[in-house]
Amino acid sequence: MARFFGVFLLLVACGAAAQEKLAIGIVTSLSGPMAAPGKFQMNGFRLAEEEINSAGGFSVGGKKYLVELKVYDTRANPAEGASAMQRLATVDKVPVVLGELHSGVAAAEAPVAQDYSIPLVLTIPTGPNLTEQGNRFLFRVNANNDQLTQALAEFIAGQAWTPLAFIAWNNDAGRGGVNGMKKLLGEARIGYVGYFNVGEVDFSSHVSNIRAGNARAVMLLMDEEPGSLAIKQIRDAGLKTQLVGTLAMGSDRFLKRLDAQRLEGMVQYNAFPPNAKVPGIRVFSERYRKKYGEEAHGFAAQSYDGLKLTVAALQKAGKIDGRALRDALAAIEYDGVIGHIKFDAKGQAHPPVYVTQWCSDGKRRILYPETLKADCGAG
Amino acid sequence: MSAAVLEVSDLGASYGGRRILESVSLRVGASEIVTVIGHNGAGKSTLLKSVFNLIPWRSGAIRLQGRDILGLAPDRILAAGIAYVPQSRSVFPKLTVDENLRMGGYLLSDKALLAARIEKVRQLFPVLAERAHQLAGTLSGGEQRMLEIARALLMDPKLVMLDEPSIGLAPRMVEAVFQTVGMLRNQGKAVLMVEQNVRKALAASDRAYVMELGEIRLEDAAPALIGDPRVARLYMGRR
Amino acid sequence: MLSAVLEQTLNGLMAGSVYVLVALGMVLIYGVMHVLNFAHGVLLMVGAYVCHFFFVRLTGSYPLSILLSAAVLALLGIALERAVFRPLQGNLRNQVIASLGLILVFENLVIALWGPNALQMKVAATAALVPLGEMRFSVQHLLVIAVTLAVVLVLFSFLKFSKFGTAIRATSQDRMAAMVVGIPVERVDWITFGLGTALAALGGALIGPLFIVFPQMGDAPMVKGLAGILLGGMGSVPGAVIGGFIIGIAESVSTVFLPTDYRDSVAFIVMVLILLVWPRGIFGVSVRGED
Repeated sequence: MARFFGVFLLLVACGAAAQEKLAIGIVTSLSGPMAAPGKFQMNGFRLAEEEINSAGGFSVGGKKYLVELKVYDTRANPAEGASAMQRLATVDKVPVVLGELHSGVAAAEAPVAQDYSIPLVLTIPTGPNLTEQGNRFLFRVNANNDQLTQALAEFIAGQAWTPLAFIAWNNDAGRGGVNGMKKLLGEARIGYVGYFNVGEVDFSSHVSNIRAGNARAVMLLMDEEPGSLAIKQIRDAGLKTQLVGTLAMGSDRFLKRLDAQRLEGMVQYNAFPPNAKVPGIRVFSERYRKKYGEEAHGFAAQSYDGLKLTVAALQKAGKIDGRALRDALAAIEYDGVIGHIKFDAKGQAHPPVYVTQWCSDGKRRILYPETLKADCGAG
Repeated sequence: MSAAVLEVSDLGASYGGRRILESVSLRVGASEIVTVIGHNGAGKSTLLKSVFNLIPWRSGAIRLQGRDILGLAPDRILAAGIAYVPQSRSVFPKLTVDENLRMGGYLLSDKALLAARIEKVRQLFPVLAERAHQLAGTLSGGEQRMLEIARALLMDPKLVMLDEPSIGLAPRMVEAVFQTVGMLRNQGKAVLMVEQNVRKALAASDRAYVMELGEIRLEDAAPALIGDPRVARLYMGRR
Repeated sequence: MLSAVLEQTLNGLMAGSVYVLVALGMVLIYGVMHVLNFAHGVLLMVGAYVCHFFFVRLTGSYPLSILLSAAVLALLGIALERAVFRPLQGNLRNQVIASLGLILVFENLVIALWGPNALQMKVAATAALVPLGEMRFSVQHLLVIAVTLAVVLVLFSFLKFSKFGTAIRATSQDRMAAMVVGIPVERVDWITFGLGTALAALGGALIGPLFIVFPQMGDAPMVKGLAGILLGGMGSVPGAVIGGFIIGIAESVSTVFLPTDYRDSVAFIVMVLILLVWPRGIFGVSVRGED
């Protein structure tokens, strides 16, 4: 019996090996400060890989391939990112690299991609400048900060939420976000602006100043961790102000840090509402929950789409070659989980951006875009 | 000759690799005032510090009433019966006079005994009773020196070592300090003192040693040394 | 405006409390050993982690966990004094380098043991909210201030009235004289070091539930506490208390009048201004450890 089983395994292994594997480069954070979001990114890639390979792979120029991911941990460190790109291009000789979470690291990786003429497909970094460098080999699946801010500003412009106050990271993302909103809404509608440094956890002076300035709404331009602290401190101080958050604050994961009572009514921009009644999203969310036992995350959806559309582009290119793939990516139109993806001349895609709101029961509703508006439980 | 309170024999000491004391031997008898005189750098202060175990490298023997104390830590030496008043000001400037005195009896666990001894030194030094709650740093130089000596009495030592007790004091206070030294003897203490004010020190002492380059050169009764021409050379140049 | 300033003063009192606890420990250790222990901030952080460990994993009692954390950190402080600072006694430069090295050691040790991500410490009993006019503060906020004030009071009485406390003051004023009167100065060293690290642990254990527990949580309190020490007068215990509170309140109140970008600079500008008026700090003690 045991021998029979061994032979069986051998046969299966030979069968798999008979089909050639195509290595695709992945840069992500498996450790370091961005390890947690890095896990979502890898979940998305793994789900897409599994799906493609279990369907028998894909053919390029009449030859069948299976996907093999070559994963490098860049640890939110630009130097690590650049050297990983170098290795992928020269040692692993991959035709394309996907991933990255950190805009600063992506900025170090992009020139290497250009030097070796292999496309780099970003699925998470939001720094707007990345796609403004004239790098023809850089593509971004997800919406950048400008696009996210734009959508939120459009939504807020229709509300009577002024003056709008801010608590923001004292860095590119925070300052960029505040300046973007100022430009879109006009200085007149902006109230107190408080910046804080990485590592600061006491927001009490900001909270007091927001109270003193009679702000109608306060926008929190920050990550999950400080976000949860800020909300707790704002609500504990007795402030009933409307809360406006970022991508990081619209997930079940975030709910675990706080409670529905403190979150109720808060709105945030969102690239991916996992419970939306959109067929593509629903299918993805169910499969994700089945495999990982938790709510689907936008980072995973973006990364899943990134790999699927790259494989589609490879098939279109008809050969395993970075330049040919670049041209195919530039031309491709793809309907993914996060929506319709088509790269503009700068390599930036324009997926829909949502504004969701927390309901009293810890579920979310979609407020924006108007066409996808849906009630509690759909966001 | 009465039994020696302190007996130092063949004491050598080095500091930072430099030999400072060379085979020094001396003795202090009960209720005796002994002065060590000599030029600057002769090793007088080092001698006192060596006795109190404040110099890291020493050889020879130090006996207090026959008991070897060479290896004892300073606080144990103090408990055994030797008090030491260093040359530099050593009051605690931000403690009150009273707190300074209480610190002098740090090693006493008997509170009643400590209180009794403080009362006694207050009688010996009435000015300290008047200034009990004043910060020690606000006292005059002479008063601070009195406080240091008074503080040294709290452990009821058999021997008090004074390093340059009169240095830096106004002439009137110098007199007072030497009177105090005499008073210590009346209280039954032996005194080993190092002084640059040779004439006054000898006048107040029973016996004296003359040190030069880390060695004892001369030993005699104090009155005899006052007239000794070899000693005269020591202080003629100074005062 | 007035109420805004009042509210910010309360915020500052809270932040200042933590600076005071750090500053007190540092200034006590500096007094007797002439060591500026730059690792004091990470000891606060370790104290918070240890308190979290006792509270979440072992006892479930917050007050007990605070005490255990202070005790564990006192032992750690004593071990550090023995193993690191005593052998380097008299060499200020090497002591400073050693304390900077300890920062790396403890940060990485904590990351190795607990991981790089922040921990949450929810203490239900102190999460309740107390209304104060229009404002609301959690019990934990008021607890931080109350415990700090109580600690200051107890510490002052200890230093002022107890025999060993007086010996600590005496040793920091004149180490040689302390030896001469029979004070066991090495015991004063290690007890003071243990006391100082216990105070840091108390700071960490108190702000843990207010915010989060994470590897860099001690950095800002260390720097601000040090500013408080300089402002209050290097080596002065009351100076550390006043200085810590002044820094906390100044940076908090400043946000009413200035953009928050200046918040951190305000603490140091206030420090420099006060040092211009009183070069030795408010409670001017002569600067030591430079001879």
